[in-house]
Amino acid sequence: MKQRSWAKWALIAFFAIMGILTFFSGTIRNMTLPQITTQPVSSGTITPVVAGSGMTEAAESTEILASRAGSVTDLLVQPGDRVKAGDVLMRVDYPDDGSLAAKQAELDRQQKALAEARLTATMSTDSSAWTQYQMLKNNLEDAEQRQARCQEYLGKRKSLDSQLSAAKEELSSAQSAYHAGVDAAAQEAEAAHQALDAARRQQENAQANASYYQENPESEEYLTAKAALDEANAAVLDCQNRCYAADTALEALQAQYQPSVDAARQKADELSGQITSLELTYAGCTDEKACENAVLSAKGALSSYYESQKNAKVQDELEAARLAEMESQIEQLEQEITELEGSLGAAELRASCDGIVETIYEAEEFENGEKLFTLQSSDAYTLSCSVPIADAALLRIGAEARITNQSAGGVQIVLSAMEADETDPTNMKRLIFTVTGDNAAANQYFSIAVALESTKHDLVVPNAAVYQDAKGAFVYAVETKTTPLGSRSKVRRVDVVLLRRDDRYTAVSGDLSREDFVVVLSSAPLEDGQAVRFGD
Amino acid sequence: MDAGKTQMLAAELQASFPTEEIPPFVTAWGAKSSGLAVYGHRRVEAELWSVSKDFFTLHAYSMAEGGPGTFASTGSEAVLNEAAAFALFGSNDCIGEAFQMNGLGWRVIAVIQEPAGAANEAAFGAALRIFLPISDDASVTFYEALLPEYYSGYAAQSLQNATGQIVTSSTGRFCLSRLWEAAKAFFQRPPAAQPELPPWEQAARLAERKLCLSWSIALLAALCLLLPRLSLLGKGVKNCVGSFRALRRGRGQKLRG
Repeated sequence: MKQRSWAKWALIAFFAIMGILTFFSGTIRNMTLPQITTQPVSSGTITPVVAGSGMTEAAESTEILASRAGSVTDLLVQPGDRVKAGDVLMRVDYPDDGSLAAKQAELDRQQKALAEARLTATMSTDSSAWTQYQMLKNNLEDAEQRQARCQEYLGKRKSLDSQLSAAKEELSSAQSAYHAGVDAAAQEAEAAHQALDAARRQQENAQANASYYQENPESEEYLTAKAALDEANAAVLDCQNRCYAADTALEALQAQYQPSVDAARQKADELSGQITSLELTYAGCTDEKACENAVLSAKGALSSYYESQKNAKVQDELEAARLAEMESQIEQLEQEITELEGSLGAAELRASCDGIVETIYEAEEFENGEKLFTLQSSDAYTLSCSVPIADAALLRIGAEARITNQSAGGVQIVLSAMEADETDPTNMKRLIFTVTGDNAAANQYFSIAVALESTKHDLVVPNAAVYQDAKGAFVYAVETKTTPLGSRSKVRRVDVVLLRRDDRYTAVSGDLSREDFVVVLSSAPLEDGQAVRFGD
Repeated sequence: MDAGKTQMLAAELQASFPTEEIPPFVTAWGAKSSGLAVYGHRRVEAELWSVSKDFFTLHAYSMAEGGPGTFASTGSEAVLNEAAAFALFGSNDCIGEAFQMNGLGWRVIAVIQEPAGAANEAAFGAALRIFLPISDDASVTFYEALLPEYYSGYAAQSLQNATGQIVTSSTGRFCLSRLWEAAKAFFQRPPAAQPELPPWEQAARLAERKLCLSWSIALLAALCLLLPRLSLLGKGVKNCVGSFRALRRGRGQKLRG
């Protein structure tokens, strides 16, 4: 009885559980399905955009270069300053780098050549005037040669004088060292010899005294005299030793210091001899002033002669033409020298055009042709970015871009040019935009989008619904079937062709209709034919 | 841990066994970060796992598509999990497709299926994971080695001494012999500054905890079932003793009678 009751209750419980599971099986099963969010397929208008980003740069820039080497003394502008043409940008100093002296020497040479050419063109070579001219010319050459030799002599003499001066100083210091080291030892040796002489005298006296009392060797006087003699002998011996030591020390010191003194003296003597022989070699060319005066005098004489022959007529036309050309070259050179003399020293660097100072290449000294300033010579800026070639093909010059990363007050951006992209010319195109406006400036970062022509399409889906794998683009369309036990939904992969896209929707073509819903969000990966459930 | 330290295990083992030739063993290391994956108009944030080339040897994932055979050969291969493949491409059929991750281009060579099971699903979750080759000078946050069992204890100790990091030996992990350790870990409060463990290690620890819990419940149930039986057994023994005494008493009386 009890057993039957137990079996009855077990059966009731079993069927109750089965009933509950059957009733709620759909719900339980649904809990494991991926949850999706869908949106309907619709028709609509697609306004594609071509997007890009970049930094603004100045549109036109003028570089101001250094016309010659110099140094900056005062910088008068800063980056960002607005300047006009002619405004002083900085003060500089142009030192003479030797070009003036070179031009002057060239001028002298050309003038001399002209004078000579004129003389040879106007006189005959066997005339007395020609002979006089040759003599004056020879005098000048001799004087110039003597002057050159004089310069040579002065250079060598200067060198020898400085060497002699150094050698004399060396000798003096060697002698000082000698005296400092040796004198004391000499005095000591002298003193030792004097002491020896004294000791010897004393020894002689003692010897004489001892000899006097020698006959009575046992007498007290003899003994005293003998003792004194012994003492005197010992003193002499001691003094002899002292003398020996002092003499040895003196000789050592002399050997130490004397060679350097001798060497210094020999060197000084040699140099003195060289100077003497130099004077003999350059005899007649040792007086610089005299040589200079001789050259000036010879030049003067020749110039006077040129002047006297200046108005002589040149017979040969070719010669006349050549002389005329030489004169014009001299005139040009004189003009250059005048300009150069005017440009040396302090000067001002001025702006060559209106604009804004963009970059200052700061350096205390600069070379010829070095960049000093960059002026932004207009108020326009450019912004460039790269986009795929397919996107660039849809754009037209003059299209206006909108700024997407910040509010665009006071800035206008217009497409002004397209060119090949240097880094990826096969896939990308470089777009150049002109940036204008009150708030436009250099080094601003903008993200921009250029809207293309809008088109209407029958099938438009959200971008989040479009996928693309190895087989191509596709969407997941949802198919829902209603059954007595509830709705069953599953996804179906639909391959599509992408027509156009903007930043929110994509126009497609494929096996879709406007009654379809496409998956835009899923909680788990989906497969074709997979059962899904809708989100709450 | 620096990538340069990843070779220290062989040196440490050789120091412990100077007369033996340590056989070559497979090692894997890597680090976790995150990044933005871009494919067409799709941009998704994903977990970026930079791993060495033998990572997929040690972790035998099921392959939904392709295979990781050429992983890290040229330095631009990528392996995705199914969630990442779906987020970027909508399906697992994306072998050979190129995408960008953190500004660099990568090519998909495989899509892996992460292991099933409650512990794995709890640890791995629905995160998007992208596996890329690790660079030589990158820092690593995990290091794994597959050694002969003989060296397993020494290897774990050597690594612990050398790095001071958490070292787990997976040898015999779910055996009954490890039950006591799992139970201790179950009741221990985890340290405050515990570093984040890789999902496979989290899954293993979850499984250990569940196993420990299961065994504990089973043990408790067995005790509950056995105790009444023991009390009956005790009564039975007592009855036997009593009967025996009674018999003895009766026989004695009988004899006396």
